[in-house]
Amino acid sequence: MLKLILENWLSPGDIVMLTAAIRDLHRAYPGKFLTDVRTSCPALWEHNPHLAALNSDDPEVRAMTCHYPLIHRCNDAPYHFIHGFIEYLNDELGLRIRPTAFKGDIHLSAEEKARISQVEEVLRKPVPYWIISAGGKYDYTIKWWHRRRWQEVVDHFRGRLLFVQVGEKGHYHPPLKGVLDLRGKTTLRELIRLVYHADGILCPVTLLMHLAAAVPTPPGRQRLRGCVVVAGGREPAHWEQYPGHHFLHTIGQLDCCATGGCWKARTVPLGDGSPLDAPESLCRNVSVAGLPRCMEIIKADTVCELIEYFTSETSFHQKL
Amino acid sequence: MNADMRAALPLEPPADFADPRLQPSFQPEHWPLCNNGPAPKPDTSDVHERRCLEFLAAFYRINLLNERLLSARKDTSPSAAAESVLAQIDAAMVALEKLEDRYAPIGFFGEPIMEGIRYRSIDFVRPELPRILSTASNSSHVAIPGLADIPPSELRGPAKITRWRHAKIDP
Repeated sequence: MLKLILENWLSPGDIVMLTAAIRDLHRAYPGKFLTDVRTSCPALWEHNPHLAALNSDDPEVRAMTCHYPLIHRCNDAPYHFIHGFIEYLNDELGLRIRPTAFKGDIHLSAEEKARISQVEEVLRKPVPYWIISAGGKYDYTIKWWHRRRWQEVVDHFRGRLLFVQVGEKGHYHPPLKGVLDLRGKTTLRELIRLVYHADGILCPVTLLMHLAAAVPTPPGRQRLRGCVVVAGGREPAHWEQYPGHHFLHTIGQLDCCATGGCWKARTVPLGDGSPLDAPESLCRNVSVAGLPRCMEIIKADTVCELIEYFTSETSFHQKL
Repeated sequence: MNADMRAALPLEPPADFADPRLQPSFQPEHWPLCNNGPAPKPDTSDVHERRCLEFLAAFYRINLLNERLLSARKDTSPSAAAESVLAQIDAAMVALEKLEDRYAPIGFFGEPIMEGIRYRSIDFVRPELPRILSTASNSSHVAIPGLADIPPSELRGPAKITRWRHAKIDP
């Protein structure tokens, strides 16, 4: 049995994709591998049945840093992010792993599943809710939508749908009015449990989008968890979008993303000394409001309409 | 348009920004705390602190006007005075929103902590350096879309290598 320690220190969303690769490795080669990981997000691996505790000093262990060079072809090639690590493992190890599920592989313990949601803990009654992430990290500011537009969406559903705002402390998550504010109040593990109970997720291209697909749904729930992603033109939809998700993109609609994602980093320089301030990393099509043009043309009304589809079967059928 | 925006960056208070604390009419009881502590000094050269001051000044203005409104309502014939102050509060709120909009592209904002109707303290986030810096040396991939399609003859001039790792630029 080959012992593998797979390493990756990228952002949590990337690590979710690695969970899929390890799941599919074991499904393709049952009983052939023992796998362990070294990643930036141990919380994403809790209760994962595919991990075994391996020692890096064990001479039988092969340790490898995992990349996903497939991203270099993502604008043109018909692949999803989920193929990224799988293809890398295939190339490096001479394997024939195939994706077996269109989602990452996040596991919850029976105790976690049995607990009521944090929302119910606060409100003392079960209330359906969507999670909203109205910002993100300071490294890739080009992913941000304008805070007023997030607020417009929340306002549109006031009294009908509860939004729970999340976001890591120290990142850009401007406060929204009329939401349950859990910013800075959830560990990654708690966020997973929050997603577990959520009906839907509204976010930019970020970890939550991956969790929307990767976190299982409670027993009895028949439908996929809703997700609306305000994406713009940075990344190709086919690379990021999951089944059932609405991925609002502008690929092909603007010169700057005419044939694929621009993969730029920032809208304007932050002056923080980061190389992401370099001209080649900056959006070259910024609106007067300071938004990337691709994000500017995505309106709050569009987002509201899509969420209406998820939250109201009646309105959905009327649209048909 | 983008060039115009870049020329104005990094975003910071305008040259004519006047710190209220330097004004003779300054009322310190209405000046909010900064992250629950004292505000930066008026002559600070740190751009983050200068932005904080601009926001603190905006919230100070609203605190001041709210106090005036309370006083106006205590007067025996308050309506005209109160209406005038209300209009000023509206203008101050609009100014605050414009300020928030101006800084939105860089993700700078002040999150107020209230005490009644008073802004007691304003919380600011000083962005940490992107985490990618700490692990950037792991990269071995060149991932600039289209780079491989550029003929070598066009790759002239001083070498400037930009490495990308999983679509994230390395330093």
